[in-house]
Parts: sequence; structure tokens; C-alpha cells
Amino acid sequence: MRNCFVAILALCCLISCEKDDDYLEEETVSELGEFEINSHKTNDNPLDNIIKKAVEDSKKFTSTIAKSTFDSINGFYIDDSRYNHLKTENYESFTFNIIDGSDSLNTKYLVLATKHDSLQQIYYQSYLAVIPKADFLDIDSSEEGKILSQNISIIKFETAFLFSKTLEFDRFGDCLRVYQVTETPYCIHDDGDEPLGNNGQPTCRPGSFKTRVLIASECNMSGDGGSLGAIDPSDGSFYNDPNDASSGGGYLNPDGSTPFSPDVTCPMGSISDGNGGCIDGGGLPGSTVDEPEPLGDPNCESVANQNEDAALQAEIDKIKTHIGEKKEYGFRDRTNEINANDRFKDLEPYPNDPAKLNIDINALNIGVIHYHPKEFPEDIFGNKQSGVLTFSDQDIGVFIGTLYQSSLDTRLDPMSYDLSNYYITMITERGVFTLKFSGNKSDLIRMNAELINQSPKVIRKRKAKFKKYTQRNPEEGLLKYLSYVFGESANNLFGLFKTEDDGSISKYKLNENDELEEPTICHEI
Amino acid sequence: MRYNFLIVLIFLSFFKMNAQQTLSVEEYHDYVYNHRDLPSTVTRIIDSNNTFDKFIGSWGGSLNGLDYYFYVSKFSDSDDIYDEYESLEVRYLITQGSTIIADTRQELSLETSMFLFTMPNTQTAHFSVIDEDRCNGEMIGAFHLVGSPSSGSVLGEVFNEMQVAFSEVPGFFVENWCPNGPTPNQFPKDVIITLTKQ
Repeated sequence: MRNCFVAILALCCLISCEKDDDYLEEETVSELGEFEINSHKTNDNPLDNIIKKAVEDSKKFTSTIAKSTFDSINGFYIDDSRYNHLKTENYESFTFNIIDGSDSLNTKYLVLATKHDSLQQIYYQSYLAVIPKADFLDIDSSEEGKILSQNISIIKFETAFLFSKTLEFDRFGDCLRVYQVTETPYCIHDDGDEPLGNNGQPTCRPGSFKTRVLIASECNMSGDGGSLGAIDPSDGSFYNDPNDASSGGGYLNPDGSTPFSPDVTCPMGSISDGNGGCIDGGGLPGSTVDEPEPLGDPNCESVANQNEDAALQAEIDKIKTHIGEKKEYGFRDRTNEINANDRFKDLEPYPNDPAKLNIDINALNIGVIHYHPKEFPEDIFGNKQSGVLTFSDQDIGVFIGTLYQSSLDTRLDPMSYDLSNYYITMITERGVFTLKFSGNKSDLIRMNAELINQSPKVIRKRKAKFKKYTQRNPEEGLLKYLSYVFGESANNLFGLFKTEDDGSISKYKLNENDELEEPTICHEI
Repeated sequence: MRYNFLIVLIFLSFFKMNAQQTLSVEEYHDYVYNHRDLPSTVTRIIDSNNTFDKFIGSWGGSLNGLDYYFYVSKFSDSDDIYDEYESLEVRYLITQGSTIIADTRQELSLETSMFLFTMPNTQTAHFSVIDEDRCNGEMIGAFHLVGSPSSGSVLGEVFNEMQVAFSEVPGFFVENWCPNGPTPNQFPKDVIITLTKQ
């Protein structure tokens, strides 16, 4: 048993192939700074364990080759089912065993080591370590697994290797987040009226979307302020393809495109204390990014908290003064705005339709508040045009799009990332209604794809359905429309609340028969 | 015992029939335009006064070198909301000389129905058009078809002339369908085209 343990230990040491306290003298290697050649055990690091388990789960094969990734540039395999993670105060590396059938004389390793760029952001540089097999000690005779050879060649090299294609990394505030990625084929149906394919089945356009589940988070309070992704830092107004989950994040790219702060590794739920240690994260950012955890039912009290927000209510009162006018009015709320004076901003109308607001999807908008008139200005023939006295189908699209983008945006304060903070409020002659979301990021990915991957024909049918539903009863119609578009689960993912004149809050919900229940008061004054 | 069962069955059937309500098109629009909630018992919307009839047919007109043809028909359908509803649908053809600019005559149910846009009076029908590929020049918007009573007729009667206008509805994720942005509509916005019965 002991021999077995020693053998496993030695094997781990071999994989690490790193020498203790020696600074390599080769010019190409000196750039590495601290390149240690002794084994280090970092298995007590939860981040490592989670990543390793995710890799192992994705590589349940028997052969070493099957567990490995082929490096098309160099023509060998890299075993990323195991690796050694070395981390010191100023240095970090991941080392992987290389399987090179064309070279029987040397043992090779891929080392991904941290480097600083000119902006002091940290990225990974790939190195190839080559050690003559003859220079290894008999591993059975050494508990340390030290290497005799001084003929270690370590050179920079280009590799096609990505650290597990099933894992992605991104930066969220001062935290590195690790995701397990699954890709789901997605058949974009055009919902009837479609020509039949050769098999007699309705045709559809193939697509796919990625689901990223957060499996680990490593936080560093000192941070280097780096940001990732293709998000326009000016105003965040963008709309990404859901098939491109790398937007807003990135691979741990050995070619060095992924900034990464390696200063302190702390277990999930805790954060760096800035002195090399970890403290309990509590409500601090390090513990608030674990978004896959369901948030539960829509929170009536969060609406109550908004109602107690004097600044917000003052803006809403301004909008209420427009009730009766034949034009939309509204503003957006950026609670996370650093400058308090920029928190609220009026929404602008469409250039070619001044009675209707053009509401952007913007990740920074915690809330969108606007007024829907009962009537719009008469049409060109003098006929009155009826308005919708609830959230429109476009408003739903804006809300989902904003939530979706917010969940990807690395600029946001993790405290404000909580999806339950987001809201959309509608002011009509029927009252003040607020829609909240209580799902998670996976729900948003699905819903966002549902909204933007549909053909105009499907959207036309949805608009028809929206009209029919809401013309019967706006509140019931809205909830039925959400179920129609997003499935029955929408009844639990959305919460529709009405703030009464006395400040009490009622919740609207459909019953099992898809009929509106009598609203229940969920918050009393 | 068997008679009791039949009596109960007849009673229930009678009760169910009474629970279902039919509205005329005019009554329906009275609810909609006054923002009154429709009773959940309303299961049928019927053109019981044949209000739609005067719109039905082929209509044609010209503007700026283009010829516009509208084909309006009446249809009846059902869905998860209504056991039966009657509505209008419109197809169109746009030509420039012998060149076809747009043609939706072969489209399966455009369903540009009264439910999408309403009839503020018996002389006007609103149709929404959210058509196939806006990137290729088609449209998102609403037709307003306004009938003009023929000489000597009164409101609500058959007419031989009709006006049509198109107003654009602000986009619904149009930018996601069209990488290079939407192309202009084939209908001039907020310009009235006079149509005559073909």
C-alpha cells in the first residue's frame, strides 16, 4: 500500500517536473521568474479540485490519448486530465504532461506560466519543457522525485492547446470565475407554415447555444482592474449572439490573451484579505457571484424596498403627472452608477415615432420605468389609436435582454449583479406595475435565445397572441403571454406586482387553469 | 335513475351554453377601445353584421410609379383563446411595370387580423404587417385601410374606393435579423394611396 502511495506521489511529482528554489539560467527561461522544479501539492485548493473534477468528468475514457487534447500545431497530445498547479505570491503555472510518440528520448511538459503585459495585466504564456528521460532519478527511490538533470530545456512555443474545451474562464470584478460549458443543439423552428423537408418533417434552422455553469470562483480584492470581453466600455449598449458565449469572457488562452490576477487563491465563499490570507466573504463580492443558485420566488419585499427609495419614487411621481397624455414617458435607473447624479436618465423617443420610447437593452440599467398611454395620437386618417395598458412584448424583450447582458457584464459591481435587483416598472391608468425575474442565468440563456432566434413569422404570431391575450385583461394577458413564449415555467420565473395607492403591494399569478387568480397582498403598510 | 342522469346532463349542457358568450365584431372593438376587460366567458367573435364584407375583394392603386394591389378576404379560425373568431386578412402585390417588387399572394395566412390592430369605426380596418425578411426590403408596420362610401351610400355600406396608408411600428429586434440594418420599406410611410375596387 505504501509503495502504491509512493508511486502515485512520484507520478504527481513527475507531472509537475518543477525544481525547488532554482531560478533557471537559460535566457528563455529567465523570463519565467520563479520557476520551481519541485512538486507542489495544491490539491487542498478548492478551485483546483473543482477544475480537476470537471476535467476528469469530461474525460472518462480509458486510454491516455483519449483523455488528451491533440495539439495540431506541434503534432503531439497534451494530457489535460491531470495537471500540476503551482502558485506562489507572484507566480503561477499549470503544467501538463505531453505525449509525443515521435520522441522516445525526452519527457516533455507544457507549462502555462503567468506573465505581465505592459499594462501590468497578467496573462498566460506557454512554454515547452523538455527533459532527457535518462536524467530522471529512479522514481521509486525518491519520495521527492527530484530530477538529476540540469539539461532542462524550456522554451517559449506556440500551441493550439486550450485548457479544456469544456471549461471557460472570465473575470468578474476581482474574481476569476471558472465555468463548465455545455453546448446544446438548438433547432430554430419557424412554427408552422413551413415547407416540409425530405423526411416529411417541418424544416428548421440548426443552431446551438452554450450553457455556462459557474463551478469555481477565485477572488482577489486587490485586483488589477482588468476587464474582459468584447463589451463596449462606453455605455454597454450591445446585443450579443447567444451562440457566442465567449463574449464577455474568454478562454484561459496559453497565447496570453486572458488577463488573470493570481495573487491569492481563496476557497469559494471567501476573499483575499490583501495579506496573502483569506477571510470569510460574507456578503462581499467573492460570495455573491455564485449565480447558478436559484433565487426562489419573486421577492415582493424587493418591490417594497424600491417603493421606499425616495429618489426613485420622486422620479416615478414625475412620470405620473403625464398620465392622460397620448405619449410614452420614462427613465432608466442605474442604481450602480458611481455618480449619483447619473442614476436616472430620461428615455428618448424613436426618431420616427415621437410618441413611443426607444428603450435600449443595456446591461447597466437596473430598472426601466415608463408610462403607457391609453391612447396614442390619431392616425393619418384621424382615427384614435389604442395603447396597451401593460408591459408590451417589446418591453419583455428589453427586460430579458438586459438581464441576460447583465449576467455577462464583467464591469458590474457583484453586489448589483443579483438578478432579483433588476426590475421593469409600468405606469398606466390601471396603476403602477413592476415585473421581477427570479430565474438564473441558464433560464436567461434559454429565454434570450427564444426571443432573438425566431423568424419574423413566429414573432408576428407572438404579437398576435400578445394582442389577443392582453385585450381580454392586461395583467392576465401578460402572464399568459410569458407562458406562451417561455413555457409554463415562466409562471414561477416572473413575478408581477402592483403597488396600490396606499403603498401595499399585490401579486398577480395564474392558477393551474391558466386563469388569473385574485391578486394577493404580499406587502402591507 | 336514467332519467335523472339525462336531466342533469341537459342541465349541464344548457349551463355550459349559457356560460359561453358570443360578441359581434363591433361589440368586441367597443371593449378594446374603451379598455374594458373582456369577460372570460367570451369564446366567439363573429362578424354577425357583415361589417367586414365591404373590405373584401381586390383593390388597386398607384403612387410614384409603383402599382399596389391589395387582396382582402375574410376567414374564421380558432385558437387557445377563442372557439371561433372571424377576421380579415390581407395580401398584397407591388409592381413596377412588369417587374414584381413584392408579392405575398401565396403566403399562407398572413393573419393580419382585427386582433392585431383594431377597427375604430366601421369604415376603417387596421392590419399589422410583420413580414418575412425585413433585411430584404419587407416591412414591419401596420396598414390602415379606410373605406370611402360610394356615392349615394351611407356609412357602413359597400364602397368602391378605399384609402390605404402604412405606418411603421418601431422595430422588434430587427437589428438582430439584419446584420447590415433593415432596408427601406416598400410602402411609403404615412402617405395615403387611393385604391379602387378591381
